[in-house]
Amino acid sequence: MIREPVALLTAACIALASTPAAAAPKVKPPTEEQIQAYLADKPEAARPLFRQAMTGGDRNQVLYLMRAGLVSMDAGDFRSAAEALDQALAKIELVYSNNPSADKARSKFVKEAVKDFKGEGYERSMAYYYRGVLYLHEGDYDNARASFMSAQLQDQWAEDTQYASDFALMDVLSGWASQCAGDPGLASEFYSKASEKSADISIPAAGDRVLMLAEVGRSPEKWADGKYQENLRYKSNAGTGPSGVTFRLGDSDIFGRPGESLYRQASTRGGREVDTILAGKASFKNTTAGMAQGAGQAAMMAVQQANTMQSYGNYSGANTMAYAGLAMGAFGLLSAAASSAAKPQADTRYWDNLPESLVFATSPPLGAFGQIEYRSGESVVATTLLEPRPDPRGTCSISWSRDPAGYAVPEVAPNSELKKKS
Amino acid sequence: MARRTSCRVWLVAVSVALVAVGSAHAQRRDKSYDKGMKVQELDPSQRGPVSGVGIESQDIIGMTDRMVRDMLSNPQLAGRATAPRVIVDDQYFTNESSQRLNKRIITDRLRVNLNRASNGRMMFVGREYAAMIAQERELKREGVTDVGTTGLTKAQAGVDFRLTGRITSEDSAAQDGSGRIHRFNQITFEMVDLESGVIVWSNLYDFARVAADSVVYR
Repeated sequence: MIREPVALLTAACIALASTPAAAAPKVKPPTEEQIQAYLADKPEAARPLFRQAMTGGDRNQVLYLMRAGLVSMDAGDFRSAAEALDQALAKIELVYSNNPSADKARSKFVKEAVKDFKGEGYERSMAYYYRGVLYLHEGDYDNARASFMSAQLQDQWAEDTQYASDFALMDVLSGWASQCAGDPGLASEFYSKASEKSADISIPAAGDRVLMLAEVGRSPEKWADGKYQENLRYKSNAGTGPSGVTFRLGDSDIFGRPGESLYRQASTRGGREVDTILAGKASFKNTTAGMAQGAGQAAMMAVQQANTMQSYGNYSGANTMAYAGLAMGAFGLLSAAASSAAKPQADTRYWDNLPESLVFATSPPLGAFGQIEYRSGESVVATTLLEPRPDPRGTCSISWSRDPAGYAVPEVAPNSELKKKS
Repeated sequence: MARRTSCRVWLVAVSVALVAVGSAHAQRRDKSYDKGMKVQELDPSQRGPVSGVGIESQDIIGMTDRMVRDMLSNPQLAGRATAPRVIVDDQYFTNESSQRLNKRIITDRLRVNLNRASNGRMMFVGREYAAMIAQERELKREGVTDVGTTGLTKAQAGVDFRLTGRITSEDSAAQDGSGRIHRFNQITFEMVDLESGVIVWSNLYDFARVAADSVVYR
């Protein structure tokens, strides 16, 4: 008599637990013909990422476009890179207010990672940075400056305000774009801002016309700790790449100056506002789990009491206790279901083909070709061609390169797949 | 028997409640765009469904219409006995704002609307086509082609005035936890006399916008 209701309740709860947290969107997928047409002019190495961006839906689209853009730059296909970054930035710039996926991510019962990826501040800054570098190649200094200014703006929210908008390299590059556009006054303003934020940052000389950018090491990684993985953390990959860069141009050896560490940018931001929401979700999960455990124990005691009363022939009392036990059991199951459904996990998707550090140097025109040496201590661990590319007007030249060890990127972005059971 | 029946009714109610509570949260997603969206015609002079704090189509239309009206009401530009020759392009129209933008969308619209509305009171010179014109002039003078129907001129057209301008912005972010970003945008337009350097006409268009991303992005 008592076992039957409990079995029914258990079955109901199993059915509840197996209910998907969110109904899968029914987006009509593109045909293979459409996909192939889209991929036809993309660089080979970036095609799997462009495919993911096209077919994977909104949730990871920006992440895959960022990764595809950078792989396209590595492959020297700047047109595809610009296309990918423009699409990513269009979504980053879009103000997500009353957005369904963003609203859903605030719910106690849905993971933060359900939201459409726009990246953390340092990732958004880097998307603008790369777009700015591409504009410098085109000689479009107005839009290059706008991109670097936007990169700096992405860094404006920091818990500790001394770290707000402290991406000094972006001010240097805004100044560089102004210098190349023939506006030394505006360039000087940006250089002053850069020096205020970082006293050690190297400022280009007025006669410099060549900008050399290099990147070393692997991206900082996101991970989560806390009882329910509700705290977003960053892991540094400093030391995974070369420790220095030398630009050999003409007869000159120019040492790369430190631009920025992305781990520093990521980790000095402090807590996010969404962390408060995740903490609330974790607290809810903890509280409801405790309530479920307490109610379960009370239900067990009531059932034992009902059995005892039944054995003494007190059927009326046994029934009352059985109902009480049933009520407590139902309450416990409800609490357990709520606890199980709560998803406080932090979103740990990240842009994994970013570098760890940015290095740069400027010089007057010294030659058309040279070599970039990536050093680890005194040893040269890799070299790449240094070929500053003049802008269409011939005002300034730019060279952008990366430590070749940083090129590799898996097809699937880290932590980008939503696991239903966790 | 009666007790057993009442217990079953109670259990069914609890089960239904459990399932309802558990699944309610999954049903709130706006699915209206899940199957994509048919192409829709939008009025570019109105704010669209996708917007931010920067310059948008309605600003471009609003500002260029206003500048065209103002220039045409200026006697130094549009009231001369001989129509002045003017260059309206993006060469000296700079973007110093934090917004990436194709400036030509503004200058092209200005030139086209001015050209149509001025009705001969201003003449527009396409300096960006100078190389193309020089090539055709050479073909005519070398006899590779005939002279056409409008005749030859001694040189390409000299210009009296040129449009200059600047797009600037000032961004600030609220540090009160609201995540609000505020942007003041200012676009200035000036017509410069290319002989004397005198600015014969100026105007500006400005606006400010504030917005905040969802808290999950802050």
